[in-house]
Amino acid sequence: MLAPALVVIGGLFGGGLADALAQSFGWFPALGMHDLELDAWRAVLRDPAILHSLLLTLYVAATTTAISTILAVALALALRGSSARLPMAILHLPITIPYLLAAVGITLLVSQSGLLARVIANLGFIDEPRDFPPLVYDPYAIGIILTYVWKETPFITLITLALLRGAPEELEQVARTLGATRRQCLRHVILPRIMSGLLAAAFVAFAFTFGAFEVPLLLGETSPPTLPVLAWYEYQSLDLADRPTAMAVALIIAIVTGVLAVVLLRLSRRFFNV
Amino acid sequence: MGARLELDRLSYRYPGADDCAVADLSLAVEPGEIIALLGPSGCGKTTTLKLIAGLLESEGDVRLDGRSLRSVPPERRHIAMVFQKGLLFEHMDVEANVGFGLRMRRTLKSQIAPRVHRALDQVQMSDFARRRPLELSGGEQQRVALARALVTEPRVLLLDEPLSALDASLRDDMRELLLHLQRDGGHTTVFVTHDQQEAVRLGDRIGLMFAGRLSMYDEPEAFFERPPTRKIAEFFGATNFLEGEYADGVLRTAIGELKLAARVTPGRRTVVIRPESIRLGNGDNAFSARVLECRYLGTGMQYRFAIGSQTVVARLPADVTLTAGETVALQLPPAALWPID
Ligand SMILES: Nc1ncnc2c1ncn2[C@@H]1O[C@H](COP(=O)(O)OP(=O)(O)OP(=O)(O)O)[C@@H](O)[C@H]1O
Ligand SMILES: [Mg+2]
Repeated sequence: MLAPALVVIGGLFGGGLADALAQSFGWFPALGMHDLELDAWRAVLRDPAILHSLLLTLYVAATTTAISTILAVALALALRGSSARLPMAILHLPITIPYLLAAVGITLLVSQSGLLARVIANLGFIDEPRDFPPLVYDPYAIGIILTYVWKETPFITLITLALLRGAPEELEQVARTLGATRRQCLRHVILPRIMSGLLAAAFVAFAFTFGAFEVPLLLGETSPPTLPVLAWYEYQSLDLADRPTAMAVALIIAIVTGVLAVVLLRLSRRFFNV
Repeated sequence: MGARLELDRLSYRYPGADDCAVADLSLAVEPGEIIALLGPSGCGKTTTLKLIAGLLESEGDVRLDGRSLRSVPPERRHIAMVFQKGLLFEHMDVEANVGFGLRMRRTLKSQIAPRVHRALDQVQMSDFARRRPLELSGGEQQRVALARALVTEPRVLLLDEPLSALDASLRDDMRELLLHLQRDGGHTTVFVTHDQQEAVRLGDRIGLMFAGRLSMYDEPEAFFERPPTRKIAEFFGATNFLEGEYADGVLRTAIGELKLAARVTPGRRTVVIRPESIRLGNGDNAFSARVLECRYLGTGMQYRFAIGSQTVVARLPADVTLTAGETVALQLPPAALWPID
């Protein structure tokens, strides 16, 4: 029963990875490139611009994940007891909207010619919209982070809600009669219980942010670009000699994500007994 | 030492429910006393415990040694509750579970370990201190849950069907353990059960609940010997009801005249007699009865008899062997006939 599934997954995932690996070493038979060489890797690992891109990407992904997770836990705790439909509907909305649209929306909202800048200028807080701080195409990648936070907070919230509802209310009641305040319940009973699931959800969000290129492509500075954007540039390049570089960068993304996954899994096992 | 617990007209309705889960419930438990809340499933026993613990916002009042707890949150009431399911914290080992309450109340670290070990000792779970809850059997989990409550030295201990998950022999052991710990620690204890036997064996007094209301609150014997209503008599296993007109010291029923030992006001009356109070033989209130059916109960025999048009159930010693169709003399001793409303 499992075999067909394994073949499909192995073929898609392992095959893609193997192909990328081969191409990053310059092995590209379709173009008559048959020699294995380290040129691309050497260039990539020596290039300080790549390091900048890596740091930028880590910064964007980590900040996004941290903000989204904190917001999501707060939201989920607030929504936990309620059965109201409206908040749930609002929560589902961002999930259904494509990243591309979200990026456009954020631009309309927070760019220097955007809605927010004009409103604030009209209210007299700044002289003209241009004085509004640059939140898109800016060095702190605020536009990118805002877009991702807007998309990912609801995702993590829904997962957290499911996790919270899986924990019986009476578990907290027991803790209260043993002398725990509400806050202590949250800290010592609820959070530990949902932590491994929450970490997994946060990791999914992180991995996506770390590897996706469309939002930073639209809203980011061109230099340095994030790693996925860089890979995309190299991949798009008309010069096929850039292909190994694109693959090497893509593999760096995969390696960082993979290492993080292993570390998280270990942490989860060690601390949360799952 | 336990405190005196008073419930004063407690009422609670779950949001959205039509009927009160607990209605107008008042009772008092003396310091160190253990009482049973008994009643059928869904009658509001668990809800009552939660009201005492302050987990639900109720109408009425709960008082400890005369002090109202109306504005005291659960964590400051010093009333520990052990729930129907063990509800251990799965991310902690047994020792950490038992120490939870002490840590939350910021007990000195140096005191926690010895107290935890003593509590584990009391429930005979010392060898399991390092285990995770998921590695314990249901009975072991319940013992840990009990230790986790006891270690906080509560002024009142609330137990919600603490024995329900256990098999018969473990149940006996746990019952003894519970009684022993309760007497030793002098905890004022309210425990919930839907098992009449258990209530009788454990409770100094029993509170019988039907549909959110307390029907009777008294010593166990009273439920057997002096049940005030047919419903209560039935809940405690009395099955024989005889109706008639009472005058001049006798009740005239369909099967004949019955002498009663109890004082009764004249008029239409019903009396109840327990199956184990009926005897074979002659004397006052003896009737000729035909055996309809017999069933072996292990500890005795249960027979169904017909006395005229009335059917009565009697429990007789195992050495009495009667066969269906046989006719015998059956006596309903006057002292065993109790008038009910
Ligand atoms: N959270 C809840 N929301 C709404 N109604 C509830 C809730 N919990 C219990 N009830 C209702 O309140 C009534 C009393 O419930 P409770 O749990 O106190 O019964 P119980 O006597 O403990 O029963 P059992 O012996 O089956 O445990 C029941 O009719 C039940 O359906
Ligand atoms: Mg219950």
